[in-house]
Amino acid sequence: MAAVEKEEPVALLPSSNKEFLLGNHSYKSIDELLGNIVLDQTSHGKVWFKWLGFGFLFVNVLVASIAWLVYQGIGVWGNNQPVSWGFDIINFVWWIGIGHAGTLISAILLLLRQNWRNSINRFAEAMTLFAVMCAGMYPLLHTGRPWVAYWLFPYPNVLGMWPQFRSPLIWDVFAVSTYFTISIVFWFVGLIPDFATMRDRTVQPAVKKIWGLLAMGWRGSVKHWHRYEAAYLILAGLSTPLVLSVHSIVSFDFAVSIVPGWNVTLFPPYFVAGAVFAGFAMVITFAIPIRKLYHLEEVITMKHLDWMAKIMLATGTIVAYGYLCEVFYAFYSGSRWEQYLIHNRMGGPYSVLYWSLWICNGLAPLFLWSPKVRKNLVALMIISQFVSVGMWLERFVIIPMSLHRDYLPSSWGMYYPTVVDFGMFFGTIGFFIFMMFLFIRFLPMINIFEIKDLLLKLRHEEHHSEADASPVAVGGGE
Amino acid sequence: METKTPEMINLDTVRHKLENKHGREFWRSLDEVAETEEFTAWVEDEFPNRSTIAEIDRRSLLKFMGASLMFAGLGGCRSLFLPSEKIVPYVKMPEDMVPGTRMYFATTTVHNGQPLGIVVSSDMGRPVKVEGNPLSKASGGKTDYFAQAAMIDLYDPDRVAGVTKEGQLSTWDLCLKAMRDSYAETAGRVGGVQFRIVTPTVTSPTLLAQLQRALKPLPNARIVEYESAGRNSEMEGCRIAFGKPGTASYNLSTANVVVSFDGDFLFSMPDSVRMAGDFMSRRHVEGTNVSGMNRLYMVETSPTVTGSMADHRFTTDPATLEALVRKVASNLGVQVLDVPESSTVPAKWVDAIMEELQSGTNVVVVPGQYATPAVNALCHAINEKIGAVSKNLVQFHLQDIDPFEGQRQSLEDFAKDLNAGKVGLLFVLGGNPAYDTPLALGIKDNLNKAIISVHHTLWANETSEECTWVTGDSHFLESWGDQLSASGEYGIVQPLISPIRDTKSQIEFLASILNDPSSGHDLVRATAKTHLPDDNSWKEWLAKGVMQIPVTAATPSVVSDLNVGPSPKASGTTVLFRPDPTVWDGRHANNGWLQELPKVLTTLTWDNAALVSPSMAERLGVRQGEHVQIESGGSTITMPALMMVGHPDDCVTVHMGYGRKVVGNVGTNTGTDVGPIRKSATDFHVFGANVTRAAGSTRLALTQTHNSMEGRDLIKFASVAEFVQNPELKGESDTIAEEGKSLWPENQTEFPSDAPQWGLSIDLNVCIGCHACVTACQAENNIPVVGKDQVMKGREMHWIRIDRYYRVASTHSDPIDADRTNKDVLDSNNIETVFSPVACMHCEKAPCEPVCPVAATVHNHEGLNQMIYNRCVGTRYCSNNCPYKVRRFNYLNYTDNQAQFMERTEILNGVVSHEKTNGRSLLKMLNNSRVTVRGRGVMEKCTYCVHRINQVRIEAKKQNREIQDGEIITACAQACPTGAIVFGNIQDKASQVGKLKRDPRTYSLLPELNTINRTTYMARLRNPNPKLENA
Repeated sequence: MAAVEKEEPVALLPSSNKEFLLGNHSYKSIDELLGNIVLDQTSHGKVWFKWLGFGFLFVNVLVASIAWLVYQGIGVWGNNQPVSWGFDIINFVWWIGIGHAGTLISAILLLLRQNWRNSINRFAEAMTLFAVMCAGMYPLLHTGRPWVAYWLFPYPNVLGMWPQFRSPLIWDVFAVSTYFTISIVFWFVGLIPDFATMRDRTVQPAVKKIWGLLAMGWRGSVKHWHRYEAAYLILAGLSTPLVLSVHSIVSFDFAVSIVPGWNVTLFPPYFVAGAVFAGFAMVITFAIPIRKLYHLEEVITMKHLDWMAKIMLATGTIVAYGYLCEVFYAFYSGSRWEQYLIHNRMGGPYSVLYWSLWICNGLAPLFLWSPKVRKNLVALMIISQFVSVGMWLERFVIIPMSLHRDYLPSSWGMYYPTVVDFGMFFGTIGFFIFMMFLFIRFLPMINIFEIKDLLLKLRHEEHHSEADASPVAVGGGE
Repeated sequence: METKTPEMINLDTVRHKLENKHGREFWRSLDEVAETEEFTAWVEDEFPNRSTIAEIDRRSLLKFMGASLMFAGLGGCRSLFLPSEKIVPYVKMPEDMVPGTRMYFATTTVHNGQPLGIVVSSDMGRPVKVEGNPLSKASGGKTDYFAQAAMIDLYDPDRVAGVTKEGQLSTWDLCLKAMRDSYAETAGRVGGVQFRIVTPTVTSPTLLAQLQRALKPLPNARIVEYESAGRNSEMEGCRIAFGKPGTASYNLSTANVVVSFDGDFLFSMPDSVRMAGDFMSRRHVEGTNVSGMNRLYMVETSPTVTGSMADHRFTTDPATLEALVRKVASNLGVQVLDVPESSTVPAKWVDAIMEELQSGTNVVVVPGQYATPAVNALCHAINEKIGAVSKNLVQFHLQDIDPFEGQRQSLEDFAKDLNAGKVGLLFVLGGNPAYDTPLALGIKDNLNKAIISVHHTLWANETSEECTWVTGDSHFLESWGDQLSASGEYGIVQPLISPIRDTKSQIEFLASILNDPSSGHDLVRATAKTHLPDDNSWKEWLAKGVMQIPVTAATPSVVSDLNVGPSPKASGTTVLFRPDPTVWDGRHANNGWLQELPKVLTTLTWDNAALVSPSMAERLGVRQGEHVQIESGGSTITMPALMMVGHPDDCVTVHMGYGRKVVGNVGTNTGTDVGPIRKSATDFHVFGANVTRAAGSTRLALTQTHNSMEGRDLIKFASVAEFVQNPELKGESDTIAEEGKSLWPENQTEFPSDAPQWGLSIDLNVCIGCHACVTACQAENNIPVVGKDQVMKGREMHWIRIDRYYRVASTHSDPIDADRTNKDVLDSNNIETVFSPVACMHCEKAPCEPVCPVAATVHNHEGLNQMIYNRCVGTRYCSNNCPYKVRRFNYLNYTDNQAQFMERTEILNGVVSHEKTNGRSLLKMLNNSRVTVRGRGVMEKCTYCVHRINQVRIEAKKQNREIQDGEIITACAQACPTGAIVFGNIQDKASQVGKLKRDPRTYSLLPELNTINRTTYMARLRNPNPKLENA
């Protein structure tokens, strides 16, 4: 493996890893800095409890909303005819999109040898998992009869019925379930060496047992590292296409239909870009307060934020280009349905939301061209919020705004969400926060061994001239 | 448990055996060829692979026994989780009844004083569906929505269930005794305490005879025949014209030109089912042969369905309308004393109408039920002048003798007597005078001044509150009776079910009071004796449902000294009173189907509103649903405004029948009572009202909020001239569709040629948008009522809806939009209203099918797009992908949660131990057992009445023959009064629908989507007068 890696072009490596790990660290200090967040349970102050409590409050809202929904039926939402999909699918697509940054960071950036990912990949992956959990609730609960939603899975049954494989919703089932499975395996495999570190550093015997179980007998032998590296790379390879496929398939829900505003061939790339865009916004939203709270400025550096902002800028402009294309297509196609759609978006009853979308996703990211803005935490935080809202609006513009006025004007209607719609939406946000804060406290949120590896590389850089700097396998702890 | 190791197959033996086989021999498996012992045993065993009790060991046996016992015991726990219901099987099967097959009974229903012969199907003793009686002239096999909706009234849990006295439960015996005593006492006195009967229009000969019998012995007794939306103008019009009250009926099938003055003969006038069919029989244009098409001029006040079908429509206020009639009449030489020279009467209209009237062709003039008596009288005179009477285009049914001669009392006099305390015994037979009589008469307040009063009624209403006794009337499907129409059609009313509640029909009730012990059957039989002397003819009547009684055919002539009085002067805003299109005068306020039925022109449900023109709304500064205050004669009402395109300016239409205070579950809190500003029970308009904006607003539950086609060629529409020139009537959609933009190979039909291929054709040239199909479909397919709240959310469940669009006649292709176009265009008389019933198109390439993840909507080999309710998980993707938006989703558990189901029995000590929802079980009797009742979370839509198809298929198979054309009729097609909907096998070129599909007028909705619809439309044509057109 090392031989293969030596043939990798050096240019793919960042010019210097220096900016990704600041301070004068030793392996031990890294262990302490990152491990103690979990091991030293006294390090979590009131702030943690406040956020967890806030999250828990909305988890209850979520539970109540779901209970009422299942008891009464979809009618407790604002969905209607013609707008059969509303908040349910908007939020589904929004959450799936948010998850995308995690997979991109952990898989694609790993394959591209982007060492800077090491300090953010763990919690980005956790975000992916929790976001997919939030997303997954919607397709299940948006069915009129959730108790038979398992019919969407191909399983042998006495009915002799398969699902209908032509339906994009079935593709969704496969895409999302695969995505979740791979993500959780990937995340867990990545955690094993750190579990071992935690095991070794814990003193309480009971806790040690738990860490021991999770570490699955990891001893850090060369054999272990070798197998770990192979497995991790394979999983990265598996995840990489998922980054593109999941949101492409989600976009097929719309692109395959004949609803004006939905049947757009542009959707797959535009959805993927949008997903990465939204995902990075969410990573920044979490990274900024957490590095402050747990004094991780040396690990999650300004350079990290700068680079994430740049990705946001890049994907944001792709998304805005997509919006422009939709407008262009409408007029170039000559299709009166498409033309009316754009007309309705720009001047119809929901036009405020359409123009807000442009402000959030078209205008706000443009500030990121300025290096000053990218280095300003407050500005970054605000822009990330704009992007999150904007991506939600994008789905609103696509889903209810296309449905509410389609072919026959006699069937046109309006869509207004209800309290339960908002309850579920804020409930999933609460669930996400709740899970993230549990994760922060009870699992190492930053990849300890990969930071140590980064430290190793930094030392190499210091000791060798650039000419004979040899790339070391990522995480190759030999 | 031991399993036997299968015997090894000796391959050599097999090969050897196969070598010896010749010809076409088949073997099931190598085991068979090898003739293994195991296989032989398997073949011989009747149930191979079964487990025998011998194979079960002791432990398993005990386990199974234990489990079986436990499950057997669980059955006893049913009442723990589920309500326990008792059923009683037939010990002796009723004669002629075959379980699972329907029985049909002919009976008669009445609406607006007009009997309609119907055939009601009975499903194992439950009446379930109303159809028209083809033998009835009034029906011709067709119905309106009132007849269809009668079914839900039968099972309405809110109906009066027995007898109450002053609000306390009582019994029939006590009540009848009190009535008899009181009646005898009243009869004994002379001059003192008086007897009054208040009843809606009497159309039953038996009832009439009984009333006469009850009244005759009492010189002081009086009867008040009253309906707030009655036929007073017509009766009075005949009295002015001929000296005797009466009504007219029109024979429109032979009329080439019809000029209507506010006469909504296609929809709301009595006998409209027949007239719509007759009129539209001249508009079934075949090919490009438009020569037979009639022409309709409509001069109207409040916009009507007939107006929307007119070739020329002129909407105006009632004064101008009457001026126009007076002008035309005097031009024709009718003696009219007062012909106002009104500037608002358009000369070109007078000229055009005059020309048509004098052309010598078959022309008939139709006055409206709600036009003034003067208009009615003048129209009769005009008809006489132009020869319409001699050509038999119009017939008059005059009352030579008033059956209540000398004992009839006007409402006003009755109110005076009531107020003066002169009324001793009061019978209110149905109706609701406390609600629908003018408030100023004080009937509501004075009803309790009657010493003893009884309200015999189907539902407790405002009047019941004021009466001493309230007695339950039987629904017409529970009672014997008879109905006689003005034209002499004598219809039987026969019960299909014994009274569900403890009720008596009107005639039984009166008979009991008159000491007549006869049953309803005997009473009717006795009345019919003169026409039906023997049992056979009686039985024939029961089977046929109707018979024709000869009526005097004398043609009356208009009196020489015709005096229609001075012409009315309009001032201020005119208020037009009309019965509500669905709840009528309030009597149907508790009927969920009618409440939720979109009103034809406005698509409003569950409410009434003040209809104003858009420019008037602008002047008033009100938007849709904002309140206006209408002041007239010192009284005011406040109600939401609803902009109506084509409404005459400076007029406001208000519908009666809403705002009921004492009503059942369904009608509670619906609409506004317009009674306070209606001062006269016989006037349908009032001048000099003052309309201003008021505070507040109401959300109106409209099913269609967008009135413009947005420039899309959704409904094809052409004048006759245009059509003859260019029969293809190609639009933009067709051009796109013909360019063939599909990447998929076309013309590859996936449907077998040996199976019938079902299709539907809807002729928009004859569709009047009357909504009979909507209610028929609702009754047939167990479609639930969802309530105002859900309709406002856009979740109404009707499988078929009537799209209604407005357009400007002069600029044809330019549609208009009530939201944003200039108001002058909207108010002109240039508005055309077009209707298009839309249900599932049964697309051959249905967009809903590929997107369903569980294959819950699929095609069958006969081209039906089927919805498999059991399989549906409710993703609603199909609905999103349906370009026609015809799918309906059970967002909540509508079937069980309808307001009608919710009547609860209160806990009464010693009587009712726990609360029950009685209504729930009662309304379940309404369901058509051939159609699945859908639960929540399931998508549904039009099935082309697949159960009817299958029923016919089974019959055809039994008789070993093909299904005949016309044998299968969908519920919508069966109800349609004009025959606009035709269903059949499109593959059969000789079938009616097969022919229509090849007609040049036939087109598909949204053809460019390449969905290849099985439901197609036929373009609507207009037959304008070129002179008016060019002017």
